[in-house]
Amino acid sequence: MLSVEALGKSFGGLQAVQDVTFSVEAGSITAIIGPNGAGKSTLFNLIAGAVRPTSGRIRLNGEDVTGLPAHEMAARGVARTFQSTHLFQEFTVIDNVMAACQLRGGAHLWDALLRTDKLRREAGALREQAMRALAFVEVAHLADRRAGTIPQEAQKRVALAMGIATQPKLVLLDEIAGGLNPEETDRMMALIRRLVDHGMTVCFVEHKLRMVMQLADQVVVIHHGRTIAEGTPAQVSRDPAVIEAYLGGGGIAAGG
Amino acid sequence: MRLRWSFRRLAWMLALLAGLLAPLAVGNPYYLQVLTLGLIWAIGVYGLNIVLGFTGQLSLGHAGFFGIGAYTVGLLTLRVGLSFWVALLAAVVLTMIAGWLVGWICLRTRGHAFAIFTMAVGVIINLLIDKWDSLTNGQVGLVNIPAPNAIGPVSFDSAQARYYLVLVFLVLAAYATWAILRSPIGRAMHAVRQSEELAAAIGIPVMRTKRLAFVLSTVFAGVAGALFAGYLGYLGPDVTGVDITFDMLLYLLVGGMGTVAGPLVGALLVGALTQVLQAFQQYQMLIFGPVLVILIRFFPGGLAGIPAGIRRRRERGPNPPPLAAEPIPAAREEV
Amino acid sequence: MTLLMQEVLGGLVLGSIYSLVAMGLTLVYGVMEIPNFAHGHLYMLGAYITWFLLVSAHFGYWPATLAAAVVLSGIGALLEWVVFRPLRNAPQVHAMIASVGVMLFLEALAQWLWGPDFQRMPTPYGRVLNAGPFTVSEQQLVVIAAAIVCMSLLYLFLKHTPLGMAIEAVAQNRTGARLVGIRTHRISLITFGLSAALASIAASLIAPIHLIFPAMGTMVIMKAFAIIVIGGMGSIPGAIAGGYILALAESIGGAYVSTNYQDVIAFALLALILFLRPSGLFTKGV
Repeated sequence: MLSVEALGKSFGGLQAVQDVTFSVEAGSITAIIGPNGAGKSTLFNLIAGAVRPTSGRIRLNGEDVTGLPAHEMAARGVARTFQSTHLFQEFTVIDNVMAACQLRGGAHLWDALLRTDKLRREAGALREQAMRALAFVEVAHLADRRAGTIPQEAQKRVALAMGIATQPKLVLLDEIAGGLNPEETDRMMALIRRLVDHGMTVCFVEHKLRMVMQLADQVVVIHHGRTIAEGTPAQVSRDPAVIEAYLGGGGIAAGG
Repeated sequence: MRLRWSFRRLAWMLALLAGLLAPLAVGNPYYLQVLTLGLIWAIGVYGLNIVLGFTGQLSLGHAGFFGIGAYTVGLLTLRVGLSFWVALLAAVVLTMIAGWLVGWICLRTRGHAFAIFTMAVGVIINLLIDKWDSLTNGQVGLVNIPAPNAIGPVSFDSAQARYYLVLVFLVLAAYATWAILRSPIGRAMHAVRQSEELAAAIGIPVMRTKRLAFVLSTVFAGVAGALFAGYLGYLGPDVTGVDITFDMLLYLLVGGMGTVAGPLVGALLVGALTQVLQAFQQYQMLIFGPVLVILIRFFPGGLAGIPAGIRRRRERGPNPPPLAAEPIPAAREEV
Repeated sequence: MTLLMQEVLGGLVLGSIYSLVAMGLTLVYGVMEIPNFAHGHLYMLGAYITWFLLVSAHFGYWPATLAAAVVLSGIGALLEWVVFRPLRNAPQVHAMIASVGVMLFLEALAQWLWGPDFQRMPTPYGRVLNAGPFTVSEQQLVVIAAAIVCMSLLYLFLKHTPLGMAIEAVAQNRTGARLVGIRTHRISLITFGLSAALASIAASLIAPIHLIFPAMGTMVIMKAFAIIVIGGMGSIPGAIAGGYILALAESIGGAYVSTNYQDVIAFALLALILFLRPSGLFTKGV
C-alpha cells in the first residue's frame, strides 16, 4: 500500500536521507532499523508529510503523495506518533485524543458561535470516538487527567491512541516502546498486533532488537540515509551489509 | 466538578448583574466614562486573547486594527454621513479584510519574526493615519463624531445608554470567546499554541487555524475601535500607537491569557489602578513595567489563571514530572 | 547633485547609528534568540547618562561616552541575569513580553529622573565645515569614523579573541557550545552587556546632532528590527549592511519623495521583504 522510491532529503548541505526505497504490504508490520543518525526519524517525517522531500517519490495505494503537507497525509489515512513522549501537556488525555480525531468534523466557526446541534452532535461523536481509542489502548480511566501528569507508559499509550483515533490505514510508530521496561514492552507489542488485527498497517522505528525480531514481518535497514537491506527478520540478521553497518563503520546500535 | 461549574456560572451572573447596575451606582459621569472605556478596551483585549492566549502568536499590531475600526466609523459618519450602525458594519468588514490580508502575509513567518512583522504593520497603520492629513486630519484628529443613531425608541444620546451599548458588545465578546474555547476550533487553537509540529502531525491545519485566530482578533479590535469612536466622539492618531498595543498586552497578562475572564478582569483592574495612580500619570510604568516582568515569570496565567494553576499543582501530586519533550523537526506549513 | 551628496552624507551618519544599534540587537538575538524590545531604551538611557556626565559631572566628551557604555553594559548584564535568564525554558513569547515590560519601565524611569522635555547635548565638535555649497559638521564626521572604529573592534574581538569566538560558537549552536565546555550563561551575560554598550555608544555619538528625550528609543528600536530582519536575524554583517541601506533609502527617499513618509519607508521595506522572503534577505534559503 505504501511505496517509497529513491527518497532523499537534505537539510542545508547535510544529506539526512539520500536514497531510501522500500514498499509496505497492506496489513503487515514493517520495522525500520539502523544505527543512530541513520535517518529513520527523518524518513517518518517525510512519509507523514512533516518535511518535504528533496528527491524521490512516495506513493500511497498508487497515488503519488510526494510533498503533501501533514494534514493532507492525515486525511489520507496516514498517522504517526513521535519518538519522545510528546503530547499536548496542558490538555487532558481525552482532549489530546479529541484534538487528534477532530479533522473529520465539519463544524465551523458559526457552529461554534451559535452552538448549533451539529456542533453538539459532533462533539458527542468525537468524544465517543476518542474514548474508544483510549479504551483500545487501555487507558480510558485516565481520560480526565492532564496529559503531563500521567505515568510514562500511559503517555506512550495515549500517543498511540492519538495515532489510531482517526482510524488510519497506515500507522507510523516512532520508538513507541522507548524507555519502557520489558513487561511494558511486551504489553505494547501485544497492542501493536491488535492494531493489525483491526486492519491497520504498521511501520515502526525501534532500537529494541527483540521487538523487531518478534514483531516485524519485514525489516528495512537504513544506514547513512540509504536502504542497505530489506527482508524478513531472519534474512536481515544474516545480511553481511547489516552486520558491517552495526559493528563496523556505523557505531553501535543504542538500546538493544 | 459540578460544584465548581455552577460556582463559575454564579460568578458570571453576578458580574453581569453588576454590569447592569453599575451606571445607577456610579453617579459621577467621569467614573462612568472610565468604566465604559475600560469595557471597550476589554473588547479589544478579547481579540488579543484569541491570537496570543489561544494560538500563542504575539501580535503587536493590535492597536493598528483598533485604529482602523475607529477611523472607519469616524470618517464614514463625519465625511459620508452614514449612520453609526452602517459604519460599524463597514468597520467590521474592513478590519476583517485587513486582518485577512495582513494575516495571510504575516503568518508566513513564525515566532519572533511574526511579532516584529505585526509590530511593523502596526507602525505603518499608525504612521499612515498620522501623516495622511487630507483623509484623517493627521495630528488634529477627528472631532464631533456623531453618537450612535437611535434604534426605534432607544436613543444613545446619554452616556448611560452608550454604556449599555458597549456592555452588550462586551457580553457578545465574552460569549464568543467562551463558545470558541469550548469548540473544536478552540481546541485546535490551543493545540497549535502548545506544539505546532504535533498539531500539524495529527491533522490540524495549522496555518488556517492561525489565520482564523488572527482575523478574529482583528475583528474584535475593530469593533472596539468603532465603539470607541462612537462613544467618545473624537479620535486622534494616538489610539493606533504601539503603546496602546502594549497597554492591551498588560491588561491581558494581568487578567490571564487564554481564559474567558482574563481580558475583562485585566482591563478593569488595571484601568482602576491607573485611576488610583493618576497623580503618578507619567510614571505609572515604573510599576506596571516590572509587574509585567514578574507576571510573565511567576504567573504567566494571570489572575484568572491562578485557580487553574493551583489545580494543576495539586494534580501533579505523587507522579514524577513528565519527561522533557525532545525537539521535533519543524513541520512544514502549507502556503 | 549637491542635494544628493548632502543626503548621502546624512544617510551615512544615520546608517552608522542604525548599524551600531542593530548590531547589538542582532548579537543578542543570535546568542539568546530573544528579540529585545527594550534595546532602543537602553540606547535612550545611554544618551541620558552621557548627557548627565557631560553636563552635571563635567566629564569630557569621550570619557563620558566610555563611562556611559560601561554603565550600560552593567545594566544590560543585569537585565540578562534578572529578567531573561529565568525565562530561558519558557515559551518564546514570554521573553518578548518581559522585554516589553523592561521597555515600559525604562521609559518611565527616564521621564521620572530627567523629565519629559527635550535635552540638547553639547559637543566639542560643533564646528561646521563648508566646501562650496556642501556643508558638513565635525560631529557628523566623528559619528562616521567612530562607528567604523567600533565595528572594526567588534570584528577583531569576535574573530580573534577566545571570548569573542566563544560568543560566535554559542550563536551558532548553543547546545554544541555547552558540550565543548563553553559556559553559555556567562556568554549570554557578556553578550547582553556588549549589546547595551554598543547601543550606548551609538546614542552618545548621535545625541549632539539629534535631541534627547524619553521616547527617543521607540522609533530606533523598530528601525533596528526592520534592519535585522532585512539582514537576517543574528547576522552581524547583515546588520551593518542593512543599517546603511535603510538609512540611505530613508534620507534619499525623504529628500526626493516626501519627508512626511520617511519613516514609513523602513516598515514598507520590511513588510515587502518579509512578504518576498520570510527568512530575510541575506540568509540562505533552506
